[in-house]
Amino acid sequence: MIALRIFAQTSLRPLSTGVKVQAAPFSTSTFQYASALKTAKRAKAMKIKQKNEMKQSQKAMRTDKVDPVLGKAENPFLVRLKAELAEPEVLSKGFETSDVQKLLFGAEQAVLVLNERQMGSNEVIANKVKLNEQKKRLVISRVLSMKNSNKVEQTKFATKLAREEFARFPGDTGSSEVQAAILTVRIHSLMDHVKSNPKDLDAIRDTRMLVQKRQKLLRYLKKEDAQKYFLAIEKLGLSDEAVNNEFNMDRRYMQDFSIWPGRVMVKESKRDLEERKLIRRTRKKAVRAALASKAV
Amino acid sequence: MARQNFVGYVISQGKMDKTIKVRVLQKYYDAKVHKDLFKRKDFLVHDEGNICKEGDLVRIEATRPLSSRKFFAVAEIKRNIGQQFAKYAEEAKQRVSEEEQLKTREFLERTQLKDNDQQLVFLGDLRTVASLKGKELTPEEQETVSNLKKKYMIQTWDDQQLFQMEFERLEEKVQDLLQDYKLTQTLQSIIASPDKSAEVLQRTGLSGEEIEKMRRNVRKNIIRKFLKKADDATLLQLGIQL
Repeated sequence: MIALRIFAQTSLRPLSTGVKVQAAPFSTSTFQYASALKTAKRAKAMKIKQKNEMKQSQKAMRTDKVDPVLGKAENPFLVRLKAELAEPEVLSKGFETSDVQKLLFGAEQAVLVLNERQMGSNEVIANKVKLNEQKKRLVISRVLSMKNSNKVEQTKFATKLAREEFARFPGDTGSSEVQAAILTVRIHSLMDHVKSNPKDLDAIRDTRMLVQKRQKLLRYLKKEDAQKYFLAIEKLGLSDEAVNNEFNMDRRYMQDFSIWPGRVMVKESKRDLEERKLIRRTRKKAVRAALASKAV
Repeated sequence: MARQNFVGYVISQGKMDKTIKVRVLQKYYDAKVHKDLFKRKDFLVHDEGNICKEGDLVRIEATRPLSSRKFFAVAEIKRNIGQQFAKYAEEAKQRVSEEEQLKTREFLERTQLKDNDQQLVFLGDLRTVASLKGKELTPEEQETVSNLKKKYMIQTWDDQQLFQMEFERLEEKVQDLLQDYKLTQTLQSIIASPDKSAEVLQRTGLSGEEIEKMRRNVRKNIIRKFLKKADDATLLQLGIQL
């Protein structure tokens, strides 16, 4: 009885769905009206659902997601940092090429002068000395070259460059941008290690902690000086999302950003796989249809 | 009746059309901890123009129900923090790209300018400088010198010693020490006789009264400075020999 009363009430209301309900030619029944109304409502709901699903799938397929660890690929600042590091005359342990060269020249001159004082000027001996000094120079350049140094030295040099680049004033070592830049250098060098050593769980944990520390620093900077924050994240290749979203260095992240290409980190359910297949198929169909319409 | 009014921060935007999520904080007294605490409540709010950005501080006002969960609309944007953030992000993009282009170009120029075997070239230059030093230069040699100056951005190297041996440095040091020793000796003798010291001090342009007022150490310092600076002729006039 209650149901009947409700149907009667609904039938009195004007239809707002825009779907025309055929008027019954004879023996009008409230049940018929009600079912038509129901289908119309369901159609509308289906339409909304479809729209939403499309939106969600597009969101999932988004390609502009930024890696919260490594940032955007081919970041010009980091590329330049690497190029600086690979320069042939860069020396390790904080030595400058010109200083070392001057010192070596002085050493050569000292030997030449001493020889001249002891034995008088002698072309043959001088040439011999020069040859000998040349050999020493080569050895020293090999010992000091950045190419032959260890990872610690390389990171130190990159850190120095990053610090100078982000400093608010010469000698600034502690501002949030500088700290974030230094952390970025460290994160990148650690990620190289993680990529080649997937079983080193400690390194993964360290990377996670560094990334979260950088997030914290940058969030603080956003609160303090938003302009500097946006400059810093742009330069480091990060995005506002990558800084503010929760980050756990989990399997999902490793799968999404293919840290170890080809390795399946998250096993997807059968249903998910089928759904993805369906999406792919519908896309293909749409493309084919578009091409066909163009051809016509 | 007055409409319900709240002030809150926009916490989500762009996910639903013409709708934002606003967080409203409300103070309440917690009887358990005897303290004022904040209660938060999130509202879905109508934003007709899709103007608000995440982070904005807005005032919201109750309206008729617009959907099952939406019965508020944005009345006013009090502080457009979120919109400013968007502006900053846009500015940063442009500035960083310009800066990076400039720096990359600089780096490339720097590396291309360098000779392939820079170490050897630098040494060769040092050798030429050493060989040319203290000589009378032919026009050709003068040109090489001027070229080298340009290359290393040096104005002059005539007064600089290119290379100093250890014994030369020590010799210089000994000379300096000897001179210092002689000067100190003379100073002691001058200070010992008040007439002499007054004579020297008058030479520096001080009056008799001033000299009398001075303390001994000040007097001594002034005389030392005078002895260091004065030339041999003036010293001879005073009968001093260093």
